[in-house]
Amino acid sequence: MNGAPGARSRQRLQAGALVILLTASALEIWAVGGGLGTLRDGLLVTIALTMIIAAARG
Amino acid sequence: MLTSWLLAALPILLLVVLILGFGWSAARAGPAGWLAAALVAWLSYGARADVLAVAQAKAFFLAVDVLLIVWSAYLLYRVVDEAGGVATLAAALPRLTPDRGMQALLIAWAFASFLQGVGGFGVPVVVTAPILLGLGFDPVTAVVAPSLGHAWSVTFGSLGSSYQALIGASGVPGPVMSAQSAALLGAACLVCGAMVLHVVRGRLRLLLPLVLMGMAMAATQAALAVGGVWHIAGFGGGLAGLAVGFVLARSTRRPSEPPGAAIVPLRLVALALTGYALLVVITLAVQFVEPLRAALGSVVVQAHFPVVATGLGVQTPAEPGKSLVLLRHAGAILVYASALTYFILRRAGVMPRRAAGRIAVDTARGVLGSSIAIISMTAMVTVMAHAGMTDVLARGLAQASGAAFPLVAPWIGALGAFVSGSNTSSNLLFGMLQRRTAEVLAISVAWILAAQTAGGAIGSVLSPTKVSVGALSARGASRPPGTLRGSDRAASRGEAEGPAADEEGRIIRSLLRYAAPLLLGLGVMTALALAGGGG
Repeated sequence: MNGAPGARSRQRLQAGALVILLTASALEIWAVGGGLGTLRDGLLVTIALTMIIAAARG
Repeated sequence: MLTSWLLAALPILLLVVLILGFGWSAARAGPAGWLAAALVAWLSYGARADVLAVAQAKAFFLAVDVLLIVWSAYLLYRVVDEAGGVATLAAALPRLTPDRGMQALLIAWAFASFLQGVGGFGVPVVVTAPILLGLGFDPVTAVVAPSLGHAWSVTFGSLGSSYQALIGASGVPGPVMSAQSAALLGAACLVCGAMVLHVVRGRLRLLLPLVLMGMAMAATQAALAVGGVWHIAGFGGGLAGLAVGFVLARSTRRPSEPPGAAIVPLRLVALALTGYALLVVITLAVQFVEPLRAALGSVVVQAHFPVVATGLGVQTPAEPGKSLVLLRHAGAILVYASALTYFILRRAGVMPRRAAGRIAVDTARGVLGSSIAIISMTAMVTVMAHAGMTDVLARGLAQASGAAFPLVAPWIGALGAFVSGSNTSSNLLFGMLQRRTAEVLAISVAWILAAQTAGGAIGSVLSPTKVSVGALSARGASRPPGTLRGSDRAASRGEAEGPAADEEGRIIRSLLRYAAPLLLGLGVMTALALAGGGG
């Protein structure tokens, strides 16, 4: 099952989503601590878009 | 008021509908739940970007705290499995006794609990169902017995990840609720053993082994959990049960009974247990050798978060986030144990060539789905808490259930685990809600959280995902027992697809018949403890 193209593509998508979610959330710590409003909002949008893709295709 | 409560409940209701109604995995439904929580928080509860961002940042620490254990627990399991350790133990156990009831207690109860302690992820049923089938148990019994048998060890199993999730999500320190959790789960341990015996129609003379093994498992788990080393409490309990069961099986065998077929070499059994022995030694050293403890405590990651408030006036004060002591973290200890085990098994000549690559790839693949579910659900509940949605839910629950809430608490935990297939996810989802409801009702938070996680442990084995994994492993049991190969690993990660077999319905019905009274009993125990002034 792991070798099936569908499963491989889903795993790649999940791996990408996980990296983005962890990185964006970690950067959010820096953004809220430093009062960087634009970065904070941009990261929130990135997280929301990643969640949408993970829900739709994950 | 009702609209506000329903909106607060929407993310959780959406999770339930997507998973149960539409068959979505937790890795897909979790992000959908986060989106629902963020939208409701923003549009109805007045949570602006600053509130959502702080909630997300705090969720990062909570999620990483759990993920480090989940990832490294799976790593250690794969190191041992790659060297044939799990297969060795699975081959050795049935040879101890020809008594079917005793075999069931050893394999479906003690060994399944041990496997839950070290692995989780559906591994206990995937490994033990084929062994039971090979011993002549019917397919439904082969899945139902180990499913019930390991339920009690789920919370402190998977190297304590579910308990760590409860600590993180509720904000209640581990030592505050460890005794209560161990008490409820210890009682469940004995009941689970009795259920296994009932499922396989074991003889009444096995009541003594049942009580002795159960006491050993429950007492060991409680001692380790209360002693502060809860990440080894589950597997410590399972190991104690195996040790007592081993002695009992050998000593109660009648002279007329055959001693079993070919004996598994003791050296292989010792090597199979090396990883877990190392884990115990390292854990105890880190916990109790002060210079080592101090040295490993030098790298601490922590952030301070500013005060935030919603448009409706719900304020979250400025506070330090969860601190991660990286080199002393349970996840780090597991990595040390995994690395040492790998080298020892390689030197002993039992680790296959190019195993490191396979272990790394398989570990990464094995934890992907659950990692997405954990981070999205953690963020979802943190958003709900910061927006004031958890408070609204808790007040509604407290009002509706009143004094009967202790009876309801385990069912909430079970619902979360039934839906997500995971005690960890259930604790992340409902830990804070249960805490707040207990606070509103002015009853012991520790007992309610213990009921939450005990209910979650029982509920997790009922989840359709785990049942189909178990049924799949029983169906494909024509190969040597105890070996996890490609399709089983996919199945253990909840990726099993294809038509559901008839037996899945029978398995769920059978599990429900046993689990419902157990959940009821947990609720009654919680209520009695609270009535008796238990804190």
